[in-house]
Amino acid sequence: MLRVNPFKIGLLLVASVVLGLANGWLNPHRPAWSEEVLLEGEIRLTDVMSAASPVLWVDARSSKDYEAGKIPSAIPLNEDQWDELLPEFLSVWQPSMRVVVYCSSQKCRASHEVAQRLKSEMGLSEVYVLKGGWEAWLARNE
Amino acid sequence: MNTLRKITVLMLCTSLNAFALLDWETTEVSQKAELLAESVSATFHFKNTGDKAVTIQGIKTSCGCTTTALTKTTYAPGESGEIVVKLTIGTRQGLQNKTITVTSDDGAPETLLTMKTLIPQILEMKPAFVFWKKGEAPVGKKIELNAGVEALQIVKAQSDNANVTVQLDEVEPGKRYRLTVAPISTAESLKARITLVTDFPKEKPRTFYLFAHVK
Repeated sequence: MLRVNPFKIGLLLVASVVLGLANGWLNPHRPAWSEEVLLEGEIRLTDVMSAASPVLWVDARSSKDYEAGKIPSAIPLNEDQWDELLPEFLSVWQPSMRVVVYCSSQKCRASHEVAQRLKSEMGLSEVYVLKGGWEAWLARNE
Repeated sequence: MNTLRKITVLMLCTSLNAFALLDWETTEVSQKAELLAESVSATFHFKNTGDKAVTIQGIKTSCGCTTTALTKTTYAPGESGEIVVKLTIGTRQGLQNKTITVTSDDGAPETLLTMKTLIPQILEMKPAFVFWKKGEAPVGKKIELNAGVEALQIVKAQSDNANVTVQLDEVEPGKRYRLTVAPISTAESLKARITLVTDFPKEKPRTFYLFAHVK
């Protein structure tokens, strides 16, 4: 008959938690984000949708991805075509708007790079990055 | 006791299997590009430290301006390899952060490589965009222009809209300028593109653009 010592089981559970935490701390490949944590400059979709101020969506993905599907009213602005697309962005932008930049997913960095250029080069302040990017938009009703 | 041993081994395996077989020498490279360079490259070295072959299944860059080169895709145990990343500079200036996502079958999540490149700014424009709200006083706005090279002359500053005036002042010869931009009126929306023609470099002088709008 199988006899299990509850104390030893508890000890093993504690050991596994410690190992898991150590893994999360030391592992160079640990996930860089979670649902709860916002990286610098990021904003959640729910917060964008519930805000009163108008939003200017900026799609930082490639032209091909933009053509395939985008957030309604989003305009394209990516680093590859910065000089060509910037004038249109500036034409559409209004001082009352919050700019929210997105790229494919949480893993892409293009949205952060575009947002950074809008702030540092154009001097705009209300510029954010959509947490989760296009994938978060697609999953909004799930 | 047998059961406990099995549970112990299972838990240890669960914790340890997240460690990758590909060991990267570094996942971040910081460098400074040469003045007027057309491109800059960085090399990321790795080694298969596991006991089975690893295949790199995909490499994705955050920007079309970066390309990657990998000599082969599958690496035997103990074998080393490298990914060379090339950034085409174009008109980019200042600090550029480009990321490269590498996926492989080594059991680890994707590896994120970061290439930080400081591209010398030939001309820093602070800011490159000014605006007035409709009805606001059409007071001139100042843009600071700082040369990032030994000496740079702005030979021409011109607005493509006659309703937006520009005045260029040299603050420090060849180094610092101040551009004052003003609309004649802010009663109506308008937009202007301001062109700055420089004498640098002599062989192919650069032109820079600024924008001024009434919103």
